[in-house]
Amino acid sequence: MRHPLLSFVIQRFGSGLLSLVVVSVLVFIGTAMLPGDAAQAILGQDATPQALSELRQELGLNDPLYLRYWHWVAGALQGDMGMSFSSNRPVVDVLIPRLINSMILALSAAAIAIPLAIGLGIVAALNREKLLDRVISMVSMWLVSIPAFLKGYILIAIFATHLGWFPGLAIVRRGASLGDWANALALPVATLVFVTIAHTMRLTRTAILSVMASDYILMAEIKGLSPRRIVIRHALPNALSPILSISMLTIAFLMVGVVVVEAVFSYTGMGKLMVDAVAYRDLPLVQACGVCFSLVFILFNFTADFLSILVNPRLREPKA
Amino acid sequence: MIHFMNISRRKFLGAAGAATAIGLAPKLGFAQTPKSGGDLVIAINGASTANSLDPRTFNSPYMAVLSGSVFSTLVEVDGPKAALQPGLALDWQESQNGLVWTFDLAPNAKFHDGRPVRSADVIFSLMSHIEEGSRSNSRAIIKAVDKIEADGDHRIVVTLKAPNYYFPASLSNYSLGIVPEGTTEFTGIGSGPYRVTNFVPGEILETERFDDYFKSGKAHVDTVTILAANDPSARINAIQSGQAHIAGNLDARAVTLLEALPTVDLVFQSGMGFAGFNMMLDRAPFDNALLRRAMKYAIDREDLIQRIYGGHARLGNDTPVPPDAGEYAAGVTQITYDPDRARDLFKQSGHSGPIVLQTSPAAGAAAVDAATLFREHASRAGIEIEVKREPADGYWGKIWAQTPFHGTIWGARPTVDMIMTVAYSSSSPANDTAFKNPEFDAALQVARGAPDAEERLQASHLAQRILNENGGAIIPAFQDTPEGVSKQLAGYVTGTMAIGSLHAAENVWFV
Repeated sequence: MRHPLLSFVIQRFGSGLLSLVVVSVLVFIGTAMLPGDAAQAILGQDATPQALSELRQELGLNDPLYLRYWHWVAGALQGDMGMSFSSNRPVVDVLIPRLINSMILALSAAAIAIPLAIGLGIVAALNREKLLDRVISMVSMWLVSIPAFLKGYILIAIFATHLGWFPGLAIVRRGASLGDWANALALPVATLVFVTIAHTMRLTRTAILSVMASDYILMAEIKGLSPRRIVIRHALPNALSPILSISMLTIAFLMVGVVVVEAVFSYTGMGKLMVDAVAYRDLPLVQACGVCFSLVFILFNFTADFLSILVNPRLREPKA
Repeated sequence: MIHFMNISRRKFLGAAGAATAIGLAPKLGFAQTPKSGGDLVIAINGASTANSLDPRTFNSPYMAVLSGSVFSTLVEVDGPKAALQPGLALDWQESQNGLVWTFDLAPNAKFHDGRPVRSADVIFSLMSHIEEGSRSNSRAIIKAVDKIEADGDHRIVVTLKAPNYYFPASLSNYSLGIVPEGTTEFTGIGSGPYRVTNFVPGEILETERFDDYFKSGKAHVDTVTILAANDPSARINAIQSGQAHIAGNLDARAVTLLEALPTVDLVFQSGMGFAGFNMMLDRAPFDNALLRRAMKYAIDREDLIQRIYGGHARLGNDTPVPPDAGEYAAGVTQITYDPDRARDLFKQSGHSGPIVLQTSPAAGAAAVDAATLFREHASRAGIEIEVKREPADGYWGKIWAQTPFHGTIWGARPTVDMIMTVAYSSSSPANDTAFKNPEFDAALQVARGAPDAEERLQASHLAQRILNENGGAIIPAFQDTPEGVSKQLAGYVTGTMAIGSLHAAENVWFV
């Protein structure tokens, strides 16, 4: 009998690879279907027919679509993601700094949002139907129902314009110290924390409460254990698997789904890069971003499932 | 929400205001001597990951401001009248009736790597704009050159293909920055007041003062940083929060907000750029002169200036020449809103049915609003306009200069001659109304090449009259673009280009 964890890993690796291929084909076709091409987008109002045809030749846009895709795949398999049409630099050189920026923003936000949300979820579960629970639920519902960009602008209005504590544009200069980074990222991170905290908090609360309904918790209660001990020692471990999944998905969301927040704070992350790349019809760059995004999602999804198996002995053992 | 915040902040700062005013008082005094030092931050739009430090690729406000801070052109312009100023060329003279131009270069000018700026560098830089495959927006300027010769290390002699008295002015174009001869790797070595220390395309430019800058008494601040703030609200945000000291190309709709800011001076950049509507002359329905005329009387320009630009615009007369330009033809009657006349002309034209006007945010942030307003004006004349909003993506390829009636926008060009030539001369590939008029072309030639200044002016007036009467472009207004300048700064002079004629970096100082 094969080990269930190993077969899980192999299976997920295969399906992940398939997803990547599908995504790259879809992104390729989608970008090609947009009106105008890279040559037109780059030249804009200066697009004379002669300049257009020269640039198309230069960028290899005259080849049929399948051939261009094939060239891209062949390059990508050898680790060559191609040259960015718009900036004439290797895609990797353009992408990596942006990816790092996105990761810094996402991980900072996650490092605050996830422990805070789980903590609040536990507190809410402990105080089920009491005032504290209601307040936490209400405030988090409140926060989640304000659109992300508005949250960003409200924070800017208060903390950048009125109080002047933090900059409104999250621009980090070369050689910035840790303090500079923290200062620049304060508002976007706060926005992202508010964006994600409600989901994780509510899911933690629900997960714990559903475990709390089981018989063994009743048993613990009858035994006379304190509610705190019941929740933390007995309920939480069994509620961990959904909490871990949502945490991982939250990080994935923070990495790829924050274009709006990046735009509000002029933060130069991956999201803005991809939007710019689409505007320029910069296919190699769009492709690289698309693949990178799906890779992030696949990896975190995988990690989420992997961790749920690890923390759940029932999933760890082979079925009889 | 934002509005409420604003009021509360004003109340809050009410007491502080008086104290600040005293602190700022020295700025109002005369005979200010510039102070050295400080880190200047400028926020401007048009940055992209596609940007490079090759001047030939400069084509956006961001790169134009970068050019003005890092590179030098032979000639510069400054002030609201776009007065010509010496750049690398200290002096210039024409001979053979405007055909040959001699430029004397600043003998002490150096590049950021220490090499002197010589005639050979200037010739190399200028001629590189017409190399094969060049997509420079100065290509047309240099294509008019027959040959450039060096007369020693500090003088060049330019022979044109045809006389042009605008030639020195056109050399102020921001993409004509001078680089060392033979440059292939463009790392930002120019001869401008600030040298590049860090450039991340689409994000940030950081520079420090260049100690060997050839102009004396300039470049007061220690460092200049240019932030990429493409989003209109990001620029307002930057100037409002004090993160930037100068923010350009601000939204006209934010003028009231900016006026209320205690820390910022609101100024207006008066350029020759304009947004308008193109009626294509080479096809139905606008091959019909009466219909074109009807449309020109069917738009209420004054109302458009009030509603779209908040009153901060100059009246347009369907020529690209604003009323404050030296060449402006005051003798050409201003077209005004006249619904009755428009209705009569429309009837006479024989056209019936709605007219589709295609536009997009690509043709200016207010393009769709302006088109909608035009529709309302025209409906009072019984002319039905159907506004179709097109996506910004692909607008320049699919709609602009392609469909019968569409929105257009033109950025400021260095001279009246250039915008007239690029947008309306028969042979220009960017002629976006398909305006082909031999009389107009001939007038343009005289306007730029006649030896007598008065004769040139009369010819320019004639060209404007022809365009006003027969052209396909409706140019209702020239926007005065709001800019925000921190009250901490002195020495800022608005001009016809963004950020103090692109040269604020070397002119301003912290008080």
